[in-house]
Amino acid sequence: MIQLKTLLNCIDNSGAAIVECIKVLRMERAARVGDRIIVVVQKQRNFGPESGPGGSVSISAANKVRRGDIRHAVVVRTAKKTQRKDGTVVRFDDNACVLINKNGEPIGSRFNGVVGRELRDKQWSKILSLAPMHV
Amino acid sequence: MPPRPPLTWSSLPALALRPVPASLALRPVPTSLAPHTQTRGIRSILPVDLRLSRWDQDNPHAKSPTALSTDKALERKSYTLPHRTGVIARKKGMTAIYDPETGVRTPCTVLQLDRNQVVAVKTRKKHGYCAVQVGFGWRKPQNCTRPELGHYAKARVAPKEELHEFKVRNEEALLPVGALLGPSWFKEGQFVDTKSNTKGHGFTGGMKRHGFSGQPASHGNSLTHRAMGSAGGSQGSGSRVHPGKKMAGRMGNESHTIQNLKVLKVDEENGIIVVNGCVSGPKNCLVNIQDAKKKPWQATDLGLPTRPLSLETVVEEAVVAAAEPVGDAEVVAAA
Amino acid sequence: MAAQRRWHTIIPRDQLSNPPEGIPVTWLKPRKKLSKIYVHPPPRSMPKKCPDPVGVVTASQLATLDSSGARARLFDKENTEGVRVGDVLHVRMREGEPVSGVCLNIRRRGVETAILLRNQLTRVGVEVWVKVFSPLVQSVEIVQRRVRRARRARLYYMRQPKHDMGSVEGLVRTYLRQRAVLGSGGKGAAEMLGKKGKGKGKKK
Repeated sequence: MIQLKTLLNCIDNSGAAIVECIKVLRMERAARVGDRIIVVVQKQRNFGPESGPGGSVSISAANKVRRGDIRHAVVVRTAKKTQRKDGTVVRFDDNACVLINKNGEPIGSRFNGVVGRELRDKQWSKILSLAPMHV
Repeated sequence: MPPRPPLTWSSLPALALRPVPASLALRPVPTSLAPHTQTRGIRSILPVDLRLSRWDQDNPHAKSPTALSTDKALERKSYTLPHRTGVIARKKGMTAIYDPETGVRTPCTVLQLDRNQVVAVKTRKKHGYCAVQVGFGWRKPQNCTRPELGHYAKARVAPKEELHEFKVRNEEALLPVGALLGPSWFKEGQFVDTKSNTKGHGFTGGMKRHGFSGQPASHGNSLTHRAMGSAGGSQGSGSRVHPGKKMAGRMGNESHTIQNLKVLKVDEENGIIVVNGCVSGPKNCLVNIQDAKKKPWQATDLGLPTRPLSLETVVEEAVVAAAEPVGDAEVVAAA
Repeated sequence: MAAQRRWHTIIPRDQLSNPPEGIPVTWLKPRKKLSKIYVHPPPRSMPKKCPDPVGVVTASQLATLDSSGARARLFDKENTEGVRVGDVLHVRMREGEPVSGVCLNIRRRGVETAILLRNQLTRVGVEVWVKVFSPLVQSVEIVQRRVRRARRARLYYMRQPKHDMGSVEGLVRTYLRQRAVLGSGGKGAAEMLGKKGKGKGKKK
């Protein structure tokens, strides 16, 4: 149930760590897995340890988005239960999303976390292929 | 009371307005001749033969504006009326059905039919519309009134727990009285409408009943958190509460129709009909099932029966049932 | 008129010949004899014949989905060898990846019987309700029994970080490797759970 003011984890390497939902697109109800939302970046990811020594130069290079940026995103995990056609129900411990550009292509090149299988039904195959795991 | 004036011929209205003798009015006159159309006067004071129903189209006097407008109304509505009668069932609970191929789970409601029999029929000629009165279950004769018992005795059926009239499109859909309707009246894959009473919630406030917002929990609010608030404007809107104002009151236990439920399973042996999804009301409530109004008529595609089990079967069943001890077969109602 | 309105005495029919004097008498009207109405016998009662229609539908479903009854036995409350909350389970699906996790809750509802499995995938907690009689579920295997019987029916406290079991992937991998070595085939879950449970215990 992602709605206005919901904080989500951003699980791609675009540079955003925590984003806040400011709009659910084309829906009157709360967003679920696979729905498109607009977010504002609240917290940047620190790439210090990953980029190794002398990484201060690459921080700006790695971060494709900055704090305060407004971007589109796709919800990939929700703490709200999702029921499927076969009767199974899935819920995650957190709400998470990945950032996309206006054309629907992911901004990050790598995702680090499990994503919901509902993405397949909603034609987000590119996100599915980048994800390490889907449930 | 002043004395009534004696009824004399001189006090009657003019000859043109005088009632037509009853013997003349009785005979239906060919429409081509239509002598009554040439009678001058006010139509409503012309004598109407009480022995012929005003719905009867052969009755020349029935060509009143009322009858015509009723005819037209029925004609206009006829395409929404079902081709067949419905049945009464009892909601027994919900479960799910799995498709072994795809693994898709379909939630469903289990309904059970019990001794559905045609108790009476309503005809266009006599009653002004076509309908089939169907009875459900069985009621102790001791718990019926004498008029009810007479009604059942006339139909040669046992007293019923519940009666319901199902409107049908035309006289072709009327069934013989006493006919038994089982689950095979419906076919798997067809669509039905179910009508039942919703769960009663008793007296509820505006928030639960109509989704009012209530008042804030804090900001100086005291003792009014779930009240409905204002019931309307003051002088500008007439200083009154407008009709239909949503207020607290009894919620639920009102008739609710759910349209286009798919029939998933039909079990003639156990009287079971399984429909897709949910049906209003608590368990063990009575549900009226009828062919879906808003789906095309699928009689030929699905092979829906238009006639139920033959009457011989009904009699046979009754004989078998009579052998079992079910209580007093005969009741002296005065007792 | 008003003076005459007093209590009237009702006299039975047989005493009509000599009414008491001085008391106004109401004559009983002879009562009309009511005709008998024949009450027809009802046809056979369907609720008597089939008192539990939901059970009938459920049974017909189970007959096709679980013809051997093994799955039903596995989730039978009386069966001490069956699944209990706190067990680590591995559910193989007909299509897609298997689901595994610790069982937090068992919802026993006939054909709607379901289990709640909790696991951690990529360090994110994932909970899945699996309908155990779904035709997509191929097998439910017990990877590890809970050492002691859980003292609650629903182990929702295991969602708290303090009690969270974490990922069960390691346990499942060991179990699958052992099973491959033993070559038990993994047809029925109930047969092998005894051995597997002991094996796990030793390892611990």
